[in-house]
Amino acid sequence: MALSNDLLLDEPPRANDIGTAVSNLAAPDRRRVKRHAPVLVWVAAAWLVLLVLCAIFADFLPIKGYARPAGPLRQAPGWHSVSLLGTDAIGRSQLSRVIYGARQSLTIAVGAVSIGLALGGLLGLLGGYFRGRVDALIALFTDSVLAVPPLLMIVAVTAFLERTMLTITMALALLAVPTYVRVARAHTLTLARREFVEAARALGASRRRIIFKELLPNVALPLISYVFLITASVIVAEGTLSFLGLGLPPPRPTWGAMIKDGRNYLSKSPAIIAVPAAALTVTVMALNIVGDHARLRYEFGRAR
Amino acid sequence: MMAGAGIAHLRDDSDVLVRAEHLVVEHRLPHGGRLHAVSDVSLDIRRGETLGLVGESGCGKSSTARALISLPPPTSGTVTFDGQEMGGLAHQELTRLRRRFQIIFQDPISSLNPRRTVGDLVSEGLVISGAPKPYRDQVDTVLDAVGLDPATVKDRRPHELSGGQCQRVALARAIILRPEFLLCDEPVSALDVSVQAQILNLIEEMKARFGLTLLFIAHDLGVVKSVSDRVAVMYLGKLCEVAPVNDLYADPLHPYTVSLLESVPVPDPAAELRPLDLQGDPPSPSDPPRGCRFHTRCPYATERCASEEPLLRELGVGHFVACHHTSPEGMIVPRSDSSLPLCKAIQSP
Amino acid sequence: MSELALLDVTDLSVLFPTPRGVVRAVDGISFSMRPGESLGIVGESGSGKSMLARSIMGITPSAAVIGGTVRLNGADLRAMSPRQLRKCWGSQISMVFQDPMTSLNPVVRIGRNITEVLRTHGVADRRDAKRRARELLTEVRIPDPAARLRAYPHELSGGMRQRIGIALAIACRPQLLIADEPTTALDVTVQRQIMDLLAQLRAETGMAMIIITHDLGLVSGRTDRVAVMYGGKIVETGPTATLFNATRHPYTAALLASIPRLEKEPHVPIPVIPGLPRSVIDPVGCRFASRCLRAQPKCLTDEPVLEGAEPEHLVACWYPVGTPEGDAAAKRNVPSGQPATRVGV
Repeated sequence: MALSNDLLLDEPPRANDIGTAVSNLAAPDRRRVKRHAPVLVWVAAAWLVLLVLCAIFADFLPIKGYARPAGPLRQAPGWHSVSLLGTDAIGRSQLSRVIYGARQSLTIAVGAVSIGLALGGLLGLLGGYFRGRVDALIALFTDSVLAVPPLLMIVAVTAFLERTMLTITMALALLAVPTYVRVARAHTLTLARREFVEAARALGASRRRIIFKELLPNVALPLISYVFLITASVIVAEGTLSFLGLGLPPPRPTWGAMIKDGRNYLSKSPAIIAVPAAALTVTVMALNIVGDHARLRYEFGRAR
Repeated sequence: MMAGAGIAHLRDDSDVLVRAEHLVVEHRLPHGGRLHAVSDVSLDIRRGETLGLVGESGCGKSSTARALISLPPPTSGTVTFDGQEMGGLAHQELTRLRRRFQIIFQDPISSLNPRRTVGDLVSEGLVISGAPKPYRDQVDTVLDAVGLDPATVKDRRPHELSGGQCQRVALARAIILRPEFLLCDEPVSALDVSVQAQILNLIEEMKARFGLTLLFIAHDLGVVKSVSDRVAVMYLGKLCEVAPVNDLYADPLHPYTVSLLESVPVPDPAAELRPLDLQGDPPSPSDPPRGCRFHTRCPYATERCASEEPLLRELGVGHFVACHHTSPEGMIVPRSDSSLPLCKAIQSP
Repeated sequence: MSELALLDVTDLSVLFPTPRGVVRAVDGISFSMRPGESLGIVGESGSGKSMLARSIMGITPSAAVIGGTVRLNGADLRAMSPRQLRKCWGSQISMVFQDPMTSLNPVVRIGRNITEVLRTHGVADRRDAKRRARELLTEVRIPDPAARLRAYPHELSGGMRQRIGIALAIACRPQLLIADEPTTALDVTVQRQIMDLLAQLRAETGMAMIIITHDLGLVSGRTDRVAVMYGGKIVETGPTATLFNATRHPYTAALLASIPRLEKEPHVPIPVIPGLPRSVIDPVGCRFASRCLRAQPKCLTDEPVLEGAEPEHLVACWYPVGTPEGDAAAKRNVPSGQPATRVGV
């Protein structure tokens, strides 16, 4: 009596049959991502990790303070310099200022994006699920915020409020919210029509249960996959604010302000502007690279 | 006021579990106009009976089924479950009533939340109804009943399972509350033939084991025949024919039913392919034809068919047909017709 | 094969290298077709039938590794340059897809969809093309062709779109038409109309046809030969009547038995094919062995070859249905003789 035990209850196939295996391979994007992430993504991720660690442990690093002059004025960066990245117009260490500036930028960015994610995600979820008037109201809010030129809006907000970390974070959160509302809404609209939502309703699930237990877990992953990309936008926005002199007031360093200060010395000591500009550019690029990869992998709610 | 196919076919027993009268389901279209998914359909299902609901896409069978379990409730019409009218119930009472009827869907993988495990999914009903923990035993029993090994599948997610396995999970999820009425909305249409047979056998087994009453929707006539006691045929939101299963297949009286049966591909090379007398494509549900909805494609249509809607009349024991010109002896068409009709038409002057 | 062959496929294989191993979607398939012949290729999902069709046309995913030869009128399609292959498409070999929207450009009217094909292949010039398009629509039995030409694809029903998909495919009178699940997405009455249409077109133009489907009923009255696929291989092939009446392969027999038929009585358990389609990564022995009710130890180790006593009816099985060894094997495994009805996953 040959294979009766083998006939029953096979191991559930894990993409071992042709159909799934082929569909897994047929779409070029997925194939690219299924293998190891490209080297560039690792490098970018490494930069971000380094930046975050420096920002967190800035106080314990063997660097000069950021507020007081530490060496000769406008010293060029290099091994012989008092700080690796040179000094600025009044002799402060560029390295320290970059690191503490990172701390400001990252804190604000993380705060703004978190608020955007939570608030925007929730609004999008509710709008996508309830449709009708709720959706129209939320869309009205979103479209209004998006209608105002973003820079104008945050300039207006910061002009009227005292410029603290909190107010700037809130102002920038306002930038992040509409994007999240749209992403969350789009995903919710698709998901709410799926049969598992109907099945939950058939079992007697309340609306709250459906929104938070059925829809939210499925929408959360794509939302989170956008975090890096939106952080990049927020950092640029914050840099712009500081450049215009509307960001955090000195002596706390911000990259934008450092760029502004270095404008006057562009011909004689370009390093003063180059250092913060490079920090900003590299960071934003790293965020975009990692963000693109994250979006590719997680956008549709499941690790691929 | 819409003319309907009538309620002549409804039975008056106390044994009727589900009864729907004059169901109307309409959807508003985004650019104005309405989609008439279901136009005055009445049905009843006895306890322990399996009613097969058959028809092509756009006929309204899914909408009818959803209306029966108030998911969402119909635009108008009454649905009675075990004597209780569903329309007037408060939200709390309706939720409590939901435990007595459940539904399984066409796309098994899509009917399961992709981010939850099988164990979670199956126990969902118990959680919502506030049943006391632990759920393990009940989940294991029901997974075993549907032919899955609890230890192997409980921690898996839907995308790790095959279509057939997902459908079993969906069935387990529906059964765990021990409902009386199970609605199967094309449960095997998305499955391969070999898995289809497994799931059909399983549904029959579950019906016997748990004493279920079924409404089985399908577009495949062979599938419907294998599980039904009684079959209702729908076309464009209306009932055409309702009959006990063997009567419908042996002696179809509505021209649409005949065309449907004629169209089913038969895996027998010797079977003769008789010419299909169906003309044209089905009309749109947003603009259904007046009179008999089938008249635009019916080879026997007359003036009367274009203006007057036929009512369901009893032409055999429990065999009801909504057609002006049909009879147990065949179609009676009041003019001569050159081609050989399918229904053995009797030509009368 | 003989010089009469229109299509000659030899040892065609489509392989996908994956981290887990090589997926053998199509594994060494050989068959040939005469001009005007109609072949049905039947299999469930995962059998490789669609991939076979695509590899004959030459439109497989870029990740696929293809082997073997595909000769159309003697010329090897696989050896052709993309440019030469494009010339063949439409004029010698053509394909109808399951989803007609695949072949229709949604932002362009039907008329232009068709005239573009005609003009690309030089079948008609600008003035002629419109007239020819209308003729084509009439050929596929579309009422009021002039109005249809002005419509956009999404304005038409599924059946109508499929007719247009067929019109596009036959516009340049190919010698071979491959229909990949042409009616799976359609209602049963529309399905019947489309299959009738294909039969009529074949009778009128004399083109050969390959119909790919999972529905044995669809090929039973309409094809000359049938090939049944499982796990990337052809397990049985023969003239249609022979295949149905004198089925040899256990899979074919089980498949036929598991279709709910109109003649059967209700509430009778349907014989099932137990288990699930298994992995086609590095397969050993017969692909169907783990689900076969008459499998023997030999089936697990030795892969059966497609061969037959009759030249036209070939089977790949060590213990075919209707042979003494086969019946003995079946009896050894299932003494009661009753096919399984409950077992399965």
